[in-house]
Amino acid sequence: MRRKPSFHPHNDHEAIVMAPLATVTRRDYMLWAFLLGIMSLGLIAFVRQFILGLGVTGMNRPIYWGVYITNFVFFIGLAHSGTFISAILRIAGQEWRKPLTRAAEAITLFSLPFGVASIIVDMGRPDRMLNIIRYGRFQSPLLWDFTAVSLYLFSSVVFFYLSLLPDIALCRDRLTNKPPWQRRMYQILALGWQGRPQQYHRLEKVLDGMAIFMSMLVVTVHTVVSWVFGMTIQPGWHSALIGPFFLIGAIFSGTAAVVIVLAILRRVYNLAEALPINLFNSLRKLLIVFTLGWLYMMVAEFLTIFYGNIPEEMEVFWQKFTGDFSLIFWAMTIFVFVIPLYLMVFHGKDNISVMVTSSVLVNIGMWLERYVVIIPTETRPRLLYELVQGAYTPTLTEWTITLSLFAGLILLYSVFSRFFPIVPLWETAESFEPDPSAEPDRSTRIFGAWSNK
Amino acid sequence: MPNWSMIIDLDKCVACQGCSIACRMENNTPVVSPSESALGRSMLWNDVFPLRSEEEGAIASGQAKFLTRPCMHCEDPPCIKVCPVEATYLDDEGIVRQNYQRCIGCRLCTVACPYGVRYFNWYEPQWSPEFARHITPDKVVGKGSLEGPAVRPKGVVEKCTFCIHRLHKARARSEAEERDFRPADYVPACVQTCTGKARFFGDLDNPNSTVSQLAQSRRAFRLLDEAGTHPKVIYLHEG
Amino acid sequence: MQIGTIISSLITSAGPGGIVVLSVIALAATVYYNLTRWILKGGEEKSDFDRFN
Repeated sequence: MRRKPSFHPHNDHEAIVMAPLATVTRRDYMLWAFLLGIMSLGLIAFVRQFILGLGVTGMNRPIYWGVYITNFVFFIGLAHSGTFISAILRIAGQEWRKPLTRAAEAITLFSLPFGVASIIVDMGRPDRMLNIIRYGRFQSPLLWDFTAVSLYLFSSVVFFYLSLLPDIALCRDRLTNKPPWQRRMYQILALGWQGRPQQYHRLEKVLDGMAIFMSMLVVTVHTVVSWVFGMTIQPGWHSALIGPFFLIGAIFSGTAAVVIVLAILRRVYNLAEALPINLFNSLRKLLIVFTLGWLYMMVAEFLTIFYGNIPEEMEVFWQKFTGDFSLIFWAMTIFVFVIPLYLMVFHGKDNISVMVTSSVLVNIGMWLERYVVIIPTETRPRLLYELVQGAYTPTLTEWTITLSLFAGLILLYSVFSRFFPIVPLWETAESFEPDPSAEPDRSTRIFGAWSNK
Repeated sequence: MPNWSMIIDLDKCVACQGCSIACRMENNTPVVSPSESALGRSMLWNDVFPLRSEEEGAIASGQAKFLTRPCMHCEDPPCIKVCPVEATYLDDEGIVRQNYQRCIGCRLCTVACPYGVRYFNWYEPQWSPEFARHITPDKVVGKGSLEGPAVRPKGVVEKCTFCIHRLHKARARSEAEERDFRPADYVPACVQTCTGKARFFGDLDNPNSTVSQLAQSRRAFRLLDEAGTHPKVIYLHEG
Repeated sequence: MQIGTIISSLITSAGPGGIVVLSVIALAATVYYNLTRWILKGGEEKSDFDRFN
């Protein structure tokens, strides 16, 4: 049975945006092979760790959590990028977010699994994972974590997929010279999308509703992640501020990640026209606000601790400011505030390379920040008499696995960008008027009255 | 039901570490290599350590103060609150239990405990031939539970259990002998061994028990009293 | 006082937590599935009704 032709809104940039899908280049294959290589090293490291035990890491008593949990918090934080851009900005009616929305959400979608992987890697008995379902106790912050992150991951997949749907249909209809398996993939994934105005209308409504839900989820998820630390009574962790602290940090590092990814896509796929420079200027303003917001959080936290002068809190405080972690702490401060603020404020306008440099520094700094929140508290346990004051040196196993997580994120992203348009063509379409040369479709009716949202 | 508690008289403690050694032999706690120990992975359900002192050479000159520290078996334990799978729980006799079979090794309890009494099996436990000969067969086994001196697998948390297996044995013995269980029948290994007779054990809720009376002493204090954990190991400071 | 004990034991005992996780995911799955179907059904021709109208 011949399917009725479907409707795709007209987009001036369609050719540019679809161009990366034309071929998978030799360079792509080399990149993917390289990334897969790193990932296999990570897998080997994990299997070895699974067989021998977590002793192959540098963790010890009292530093029971180290690089793996840092990665967990970091990757979940990165995931907030997409939701912020696509959900929160959507609710705020910021139209300029439209070209970025899929690229940002893809960061969310592809970093969440590695956040989850980080937890599994850190468990002493990952083979007993199902115990969480069989014997789950809701009093435990880990259960809140598990629920929130699972729901977030699931919802992100759905949100991403629905936003992608009209463009999958576009691929189904336009990319007729692709190998059969690829065409079949588009066919199946398109779910029979026809592009009827009512379908677009309903899609927009659902995305609006999900955007609200996802925004609430973003706040919940990272707050709950922080409460795994905040609900203990350890100095440095047990702060009422820890929820907002982590949340702002996540949105901050996520937005910086969006800048990096956009710049790479723009360069590698020649998308300068579809991703104009004013997008970077808008992101710049947001990033400056977030940097200052994050500075506020840090000052509020540390000034309060310092002024209160409670002994066990000050032990941890000095560990960060002058002690074993001072190098990392001050490096973090410079990477997250000093250099980026200066660069972005004075040199960031209309300057993509400056924005990318600042964003890279921000993300390195934010990884260090996660490390500095987690480990110093563990080195100065509350019982001041403890002889074991604790030191931690991550091992090769931990670094290999960390590297493989990043490799995985890049791999998934890169593969995706070769099979699906990274700029949402239907959302950035100039008009929803039917193309006069297309075959008339009896089921569609009120095109003329359709307005581009 | 009795509410088990321990009194440790620091005036009588000579820091001989007999308690730690007895605990290790009683509960099959593995010894770790020197490099692992340097990393901070020694397993000492009962740990004896010097308190931090401002003076140099305090340990060598005999001026340092020592503390011997089992699990506090708190009445409001922060560790059981955070366990996602109830691998650790407070039983109705006031003992904080640890189930090796259910533990998933997330280590949230280890970071939540403000006293640092919890230990993790970073590797499969190993024993030198001498130690291997002395592994005791005691264990507490139930449906889906493995506790006490049972040899632990890797990847699970462990800690002092107030020698729960001795409690079960004492109860079983009293049943077999068709008499009432006497709280005095049950003492953990550390209490039994203590060279200085510094440790006492019993039912805190029984006003006639030794621990109950000693707990009222002017010298009595609890570690991290302000943390709200209500530890049941009560110290008597040097008089 | 009674309701407090019930809620407290629901939260602290092993098992209910797992049920909560599964229920939340199942609920989300149901909602999303139906939303997707609703979207795709937008403007669909009803076979005989529309044609003869």
